[in-house]
Order: sequence, then structure tokens, then C-alpha cells
Amino acid sequence: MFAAILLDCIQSIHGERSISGIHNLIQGKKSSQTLQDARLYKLERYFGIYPSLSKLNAHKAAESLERRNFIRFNQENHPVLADEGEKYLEDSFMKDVNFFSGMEHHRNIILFEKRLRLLIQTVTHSELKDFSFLPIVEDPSVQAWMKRLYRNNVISDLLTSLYEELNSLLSALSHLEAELFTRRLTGGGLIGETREQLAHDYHLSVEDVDLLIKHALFYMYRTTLSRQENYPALALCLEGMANEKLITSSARQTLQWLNRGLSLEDIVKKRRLKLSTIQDHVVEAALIDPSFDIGSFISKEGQKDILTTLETLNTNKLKKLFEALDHNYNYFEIRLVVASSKHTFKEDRHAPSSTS
Amino acid sequence: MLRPRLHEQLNNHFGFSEFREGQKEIIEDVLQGQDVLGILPTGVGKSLCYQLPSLLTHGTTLVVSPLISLMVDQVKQLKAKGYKSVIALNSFMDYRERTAALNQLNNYRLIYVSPEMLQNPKIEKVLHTLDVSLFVIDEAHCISQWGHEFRTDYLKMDQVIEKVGNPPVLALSATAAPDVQKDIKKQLGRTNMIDHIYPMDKPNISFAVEFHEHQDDKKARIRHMLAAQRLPTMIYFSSRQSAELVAEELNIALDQRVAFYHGGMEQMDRLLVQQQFMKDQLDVICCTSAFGMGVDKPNIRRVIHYHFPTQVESYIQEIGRAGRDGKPCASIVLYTPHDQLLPKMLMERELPEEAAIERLFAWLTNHSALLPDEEMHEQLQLSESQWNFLKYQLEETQVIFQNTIMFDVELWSKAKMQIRTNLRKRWNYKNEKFHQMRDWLYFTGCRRLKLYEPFQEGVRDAEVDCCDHCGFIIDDAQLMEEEAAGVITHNSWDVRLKRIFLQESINE
Repeated sequence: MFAAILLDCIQSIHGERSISGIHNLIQGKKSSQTLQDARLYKLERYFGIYPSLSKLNAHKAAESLERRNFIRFNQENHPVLADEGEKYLEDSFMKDVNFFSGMEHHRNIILFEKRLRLLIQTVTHSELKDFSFLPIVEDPSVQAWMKRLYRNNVISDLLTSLYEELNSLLSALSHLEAELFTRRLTGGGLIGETREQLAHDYHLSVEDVDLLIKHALFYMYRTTLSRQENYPALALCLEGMANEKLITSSARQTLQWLNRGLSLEDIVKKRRLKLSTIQDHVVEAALIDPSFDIGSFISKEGQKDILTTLETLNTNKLKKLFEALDHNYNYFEIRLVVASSKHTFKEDRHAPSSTS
Repeated sequence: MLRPRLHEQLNNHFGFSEFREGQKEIIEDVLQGQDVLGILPTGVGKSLCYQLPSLLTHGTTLVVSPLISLMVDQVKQLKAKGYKSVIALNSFMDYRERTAALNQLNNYRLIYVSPEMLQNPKIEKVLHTLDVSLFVIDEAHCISQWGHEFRTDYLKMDQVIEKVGNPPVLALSATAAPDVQKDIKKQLGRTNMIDHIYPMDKPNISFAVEFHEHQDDKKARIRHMLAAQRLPTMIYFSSRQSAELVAEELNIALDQRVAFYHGGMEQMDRLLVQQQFMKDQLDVICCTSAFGMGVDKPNIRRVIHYHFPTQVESYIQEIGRAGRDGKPCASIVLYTPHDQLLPKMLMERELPEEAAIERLFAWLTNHSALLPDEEMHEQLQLSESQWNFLKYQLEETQVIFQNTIMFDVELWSKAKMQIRTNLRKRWNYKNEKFHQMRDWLYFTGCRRLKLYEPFQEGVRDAEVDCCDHCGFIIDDAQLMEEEAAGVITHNSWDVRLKRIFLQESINE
């Protein structure tokens, strides 16, 4: 699965970013650059799906893709998809079934997973009248959440419904995902297995184990979210999860000043940041918020010019655009237009609807 | 009067019907307000000696413990048993957690705290407001400069005790030779402590040391031993990498469950491996010394050392995890001449070399105050423990006072000499310890007698074949127990899910 995700990213980025850039995206680095990349290349779904991914392992995986002739590296040392890789990607089930929605949900998934694991352990051990188990999740806020449910007597009749809900959700996933997910669970006196053990038993890499389980969690989370009435037990784990729009807090501050009518230069002085940083914030806002108006930074004609060039060249490479526009517009203006143009496309092909 | 009540309390709070050797004696003295030095072998349950009193005294029991992981483990286990008013103050807590904890500290009966936290002025302040009825120093050998694990944060403990109102003191250790015991009392300023010293030899363990040519021979030997008898086994390594590597090789070669464990793993995976081992879902664990703290598994039958530790004290502690149920168990050390290099390297990482003293003073000349510890490591190219050693020496020689550098030519030249002397002493001490360990490996007489010689007079008769010198042959050892309970058969996911949710009878 890791290979397919990397290939998918590499295909969308067509040689314009390095492996480190892709690593930042999958790992969920909250920098303006990475957030912008995710939007630009329509890779929001993979944003932050694997927070513990190390740079080293991302590079190792890319090397192995190169050895298998799935990718090659261009002059700038950026990865490009090769024919073999394209074939592999087309055949992988990621192309048909992809429940990742990282940008929107990656943080909630982490909390959802912790709650779900602790809920399963608590419900099954209560049934066994074993109240002295060591909680598998140590996060104090999750333990406090669990205690609250327990005290309010919410979990007493949960055993069967939780089982049935999980059973039905797991049946909809691939056999491998269901296997890995269940083998990693702790409860009912059975201790879950480590990622290394699962990798060994199923002849997978540790990254594949992590991502397959993560994918299963995305599916469960989103299905539960969209049909809470069908999954009442799992829906308990959603409690209080707001879908905060993802934006760095520094960018949010810049926006607040903008809304109060300050110019970019004013904000530079006020916040003692570089102009380029403040401009990054503005681009970030344009990427994330469809209603963000870029009109005060670049004229209507300018926008049109840049858009036309963008469509003819069909590239996100700023340098190419900059040159094709005869240096009439600066990089900031070009980035702004590129960013806001992304809202004209709607995406998310195969995901279950999340409105209910 | 006291006795039946104590038993009752033991049963009520911890679910045990009997005290283990030494526990009751120590607890009785502690409850009478005496200062006590307790030396109990690993596995006897030192912690009960203050956990039970903490429930029976009016005020707070303060426990200083050097090992954060141990402290956190104990708190988890106590909470799992239903002891709620316990907390561990340590540097892993984030700011919010810590503030919340400090604000309601007087609600806890039992407070674990790391020695470096005691030096934190904010925490110190709150601790002074507590009504401390018992002050406990766990792993008390760390107090002694001549202890095998001297920790600089452990000094000034006498001042801390005074500041919290001079409550009774309980110092506990599993490995403290007589000279260290004396030093502990001296450092605490409590030379009249009552001794409760129990022999640390294990009558139910057999010893063997095997010499091999190559690492591969050791691995082959382990495969052979494991295949011959499937038993709960721990294999100790001194590097994470070799633990992982050998675990993987064994997994491929054997039809047994083998996992590795070390400090570099993800939190949940660490917990899973521990729990699997506890519940007999694992046969073999390949680990570094990070494993074992707080893991009280009764039926470990074999402890194999793939690498031997740097000192006899660590070795005794590590084999102390075997056979806690009192049934026969064995220690096997596998040795190749090449293995000597590893402990040497570990020691070099721990202590600075002499050249570092010059570097340090050159740096001091150009600065007026010390930087935060992490930056000092960086600037002087020192490991954490190397820097701790030097920093402590600077404080002792008054070259620094509250992090400020006191410049004085005469003082400095004296200090330099003093530090050099102390460093040499420490190196000599470490080398001595190392040689003591290595000599034991090469020893040709009774290993049991020799091993415990520095700590106690004589040993009890072995209940099993004593050692390779006295006729113990590991391949003939009868360590078998009843069929292991937790063998897992791998069914497909839907069956496992039913088992987790205890649904088997319903839908079958």
C-alpha cells in the first residue's frame, strides 16, 4: 500500500517536488509549503495520514521503487513515474478503493483510533469482570473520556452492538485489512500484536502494516460519521470532534490582521516577520478557504492572464509560469492565482459521502 | 495487635495472602517511625514495603525513584489494582499535566518523584506544603559515589528530607554491597538506620557460562537450546540492533513466538510485547536492559545473556527476573572474546575522558554562566551522563555556583586537579567492576559462591544443580513446566473478532 500511495503522489506531482516534499505531505508537516502542495497537486487525501513516517524510511521506499523500475529521478532529482510504476498503480486497489481523507480527518482519526481501542478493551474486560487490566492507550485525555462513559453507564450494553458494527465494517474491507486490524486489537483477554510481528507474519513492510490499518480506520471513521444512526456504538468515539479547517495558527493571526484592514507591509511590521512569510500565509488562506478573495492582491485582468497561461502550460511549476508571463507578475501573485484556481475543481472520487 | 491487621490490609489492598521474606519486618519498623535500610533481592517486592504503609499512615508518602519507566509502570499497576490516589511526577509530563498535578498534590497519598524533579524550585515549594509521613528512596545505591550507578541528582537528598520536615526515611535497594550500605546512611545523615538485609542469592537458579568462537556460534547455540525446550525465556543484549536482528532470525528458524523489546519502540508496541509475554502469548523475548522493570512474570525459566553486562550488580538484577515462582530456572551467559569490547564502549559513553576537562575549562574561560544541559552536551561534545559527572564536579569544587561561573585562578587550578583525580577514581572503579564481572565469567570454581561473595557471607544450598562447575549441564536441565496456556492459534479475522468480543458461544 505504501508503494501505491507514493506512486500516486509521484504521478500527481509529475516531477515538480522531491521525495522530502512527498514525505512532508504524508507525514503531515504543517508548513505553508506542504499545505499548499497538498492542494496544488490534489493530494489532500494523503495529508498527515502517517505522522510517524521517518524521512529515512520514505527515502528507502523511494529507492526500492527505483530499483523496481517504477520510478526514475529527473535532473532536479525529483521522482517521476515510469511505465512500470503506472501499470502497478493502475492495478493496485488504491485506484478503486481509497478512503483516505487526510487533510480533512487525519487528526480526528488519531483520536478515533485511541478511543476505539480503549473502548473495545474496556467493554470486553468489563464483560469478563476483569477491572484490573492495563489500558492499552495511555493518553490521559482518552482515559478520562473512557471513565466518563463508564461512569455514565453508557457502555454496559455495548458488547454485542460494538461487535456487530465492527464485524459489518470489517467485512466491507479487504481480507488483509480485516486481518491486520483484528490482530492488532487488544481485548477479551487477547493481547494485540506489534507492527513488527504483523509485518513478519504477513510478509509486509512495517509501513504497509501501519497504512493498511490506517486505511481501515479511515473507512470506519467516515462510514460511522456519515451514518451515525447505523453505528451507534462506534459513534460514541466521535464525541466532540469538530472539523476544524486546517490552517497554521500563525497564518490565522495574519488573516485576523488582514480582516481588520491592515496591509501586508503593516502586518510585516506588526508581527516582525518577513514579507515572504506573510505572503505564505495569504496563499495558504487562498488554498484552504474557497471564499477568500484575492482581488485586493491582484487585479481581475492579472488573474485572467495567469489563469490562461496556467491552463495552456498545464504545470504548477512557478518558474515556468513566471517566465511564460514575461516576468509581468511576481511569484506571490502567481501563487495566489494558482492557489485559488484549485477550488474550481471538485474531487474525492470514491469516498463515502460525509454529509448526513 | 499489629500483625493480623497488617495481613488483612495486605489482602484487602493488594490481594496477597502472605508477605514475602522481609516485607513484614520492614513495614512494621516503618510504621513505628523508624529509619530503615532495606536490602531485598529483586523480585521480592520492595515496593510493597512503602505502598502498604502509604495506605496506613496519615500523611503523604514521597518516593524518590531514579527510573521514570519503573515509576510510571508502578503507577499504572497500582491504578489497575484500584489504588487511585497515586501519581508520578516526572519530566515526561507536559506543562499542563504538571500544573494540574501540582495544584492538587495534597490529594495524593503516594507520590513518586524523580530526583531531578526534586531540584525544581516550583516542585520543591509545593512539596514543602505537604504533610510527609514517610520519605522513601528507591534504588538507594544510586546515592553512593561508590555505588555502581551513582546518580548526581541523588545527592543533597539529606537537605530535601530536612526541608519536608524530617519524616522517617526508608532506603531500599536490591544490590548494595556493605561499603555502599554504609555510604547510603552517611549520605542521608542517618547513621542509625535499622538494617533489614536479606540474602540475595537465588537457591532455585542454576548457572552456566559457555565460551564460543563467533557470534554465529552463539546464535546457533540459542536456536538449539530454544528448540530443545520451549520455555518462557529472556535473552539480554547490549544493543537494540542485535536484539532486533536475533529476534528476527529466531522467528524464521523456530516455530515459537519471539519478539524484541527495547527503549526505541513505539509506546503501544512496548506495552503489547510486555503484555504478550506476561500472558504467555510469547515464548522468547530479545531485549535490552530497558525491559524487565516492573514486569513481574512468575514463570520465566531461562535468562540467556547474549552480551554480558558491565557489572555483577546488573547481572544479578537481570537474572533476578527468572523463577520468581520459586521453581527451577537457569542463567546461561554466552561469551566470545570479542564481547569484551561492548561493555568498554558503554563505559566510555558514560564517563568523560581526561581531555574533556581541558575542553571544559577552556569553555568556562569564555563564558559567565552555564547553558541549559542540552546545549552543554552539544557544545562540549559530551553524552548526558558524561556532562552530569562534570557538572557535579564543578559544583563540588565551587567553580560554579547556581550555574554562575566563579572565576578564580587558584581555585580553578585546584579544581582541575581535583576533578582529574575523581575522574581517574571513577574510571578505576568502573574498570574494577568490569573486571569483577569478567573474572566471574572465567572463574573455575563454584559460580554461586563467587557471584554473591561481595554482597554477603556464604550462600544457601542450591535447590537445583548449582552451576557448571558443580555439575550443572544446561542441556540436561529439567525446566519443563506444564503445557503453556496461552499458545495462540491463528484463525481468520472473524473468528478472532468473536473471541475478543466473547461471542463464540452465541453464533457458533
